[in-house]
Amino acid sequence: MSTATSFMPTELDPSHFKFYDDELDRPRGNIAENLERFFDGEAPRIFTEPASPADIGSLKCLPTELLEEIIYNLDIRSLENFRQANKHTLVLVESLPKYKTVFQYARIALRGILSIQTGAYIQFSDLYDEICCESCERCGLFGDYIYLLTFKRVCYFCIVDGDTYRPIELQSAKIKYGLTDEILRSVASMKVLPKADPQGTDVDTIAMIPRKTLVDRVSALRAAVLLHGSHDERGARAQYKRNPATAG
Amino acid sequence: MSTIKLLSSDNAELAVDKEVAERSILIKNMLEDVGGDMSDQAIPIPNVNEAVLRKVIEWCEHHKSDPPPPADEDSDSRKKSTDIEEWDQKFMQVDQEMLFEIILAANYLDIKPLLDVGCKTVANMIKGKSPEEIRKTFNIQNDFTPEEEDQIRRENEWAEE
Repeated sequence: MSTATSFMPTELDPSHFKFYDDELDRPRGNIAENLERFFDGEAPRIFTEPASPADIGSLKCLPTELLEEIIYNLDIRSLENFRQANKHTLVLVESLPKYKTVFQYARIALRGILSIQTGAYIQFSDLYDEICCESCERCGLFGDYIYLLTFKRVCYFCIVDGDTYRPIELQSAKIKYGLTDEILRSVASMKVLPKADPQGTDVDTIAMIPRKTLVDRVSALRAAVLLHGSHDERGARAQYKRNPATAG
Repeated sequence: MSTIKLLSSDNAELAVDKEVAERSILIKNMLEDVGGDMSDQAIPIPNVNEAVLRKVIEWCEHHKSDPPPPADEDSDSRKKSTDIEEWDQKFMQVDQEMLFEIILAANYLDIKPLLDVGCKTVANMIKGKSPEEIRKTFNIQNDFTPEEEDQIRRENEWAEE
């Protein structure tokens, strides 16, 4: 009897399930909790009838297959904004087969992207292609994780191996790669909470904490190569030292 | 080089190099089907008016020597939306009505690369805009109640409540 009760839902506190991988030791309990709340308490949509004269505006002269093509060209953030324009764009977006697939199978990823604000760097069609493949972008073996900054599939071993999937702080990226603020704005980056323990802090307080920006290393390096024409990081640093004004 | 004539929906006759006109798969197939030369007879393009047809021909002239697109449509050759050639970007700087007309004409005439550029241009008009700005750009009326709008916004958000 007592063993049975110990498995009752009261015992299934999400904080009991800690996904500690020795290398990526982050408090993930919070996220698990967050997800659970969403999956359980999803409020059904109750809408009033759309106002009859409304439609998708001047876009209505294009046939659906072309609108589909246009929408697949959008990045995730813009797609989300377009979805929110009115009821007709909402229905249009949600009726597209690829969006349905993503919504059904990769909704957590979609939310993750929007929440760390990397949506502007990921094109919808790329996201779709990525969830439809299975191999890690680095080693080609099965990739069971997704690196949300650039939305690439990776496997555990590639994540923990080396620095590739460890985003770098904005200020460090600026110095290390000799990039300007302007260029850095176009480089894949994410917004995170600074190194305070968000657990135990109430959500209103968390919302007030300014987000910190972390930059994807590979994207930053690529931007640096474009800017300095050299793969050599020392070159980038020398440039920064010579003329910090133009380098940031 | 042989020239062919195209007849727009508003009955304007435009002379075009055969090579240029053949950027349109529709016209290319049509010419192959009739086999002979069409130099004496104008090909009717009933869905496209003169102004739009001239624009489309201008694009075809500029791109007449482009390599044919790879057969595999969905390969990596599909470039990112921001990657529009500079000339094409300038070419697409027209009012919205004209832009949509060009897209529709490219669709009808089956000119895939022009259609791609057109769709990417529209996508770029949406990119980076807030829902309100998107509504303004395309004259979309907001028919959400404030509560509905709030609910839709939250659906794909992580609790930042």
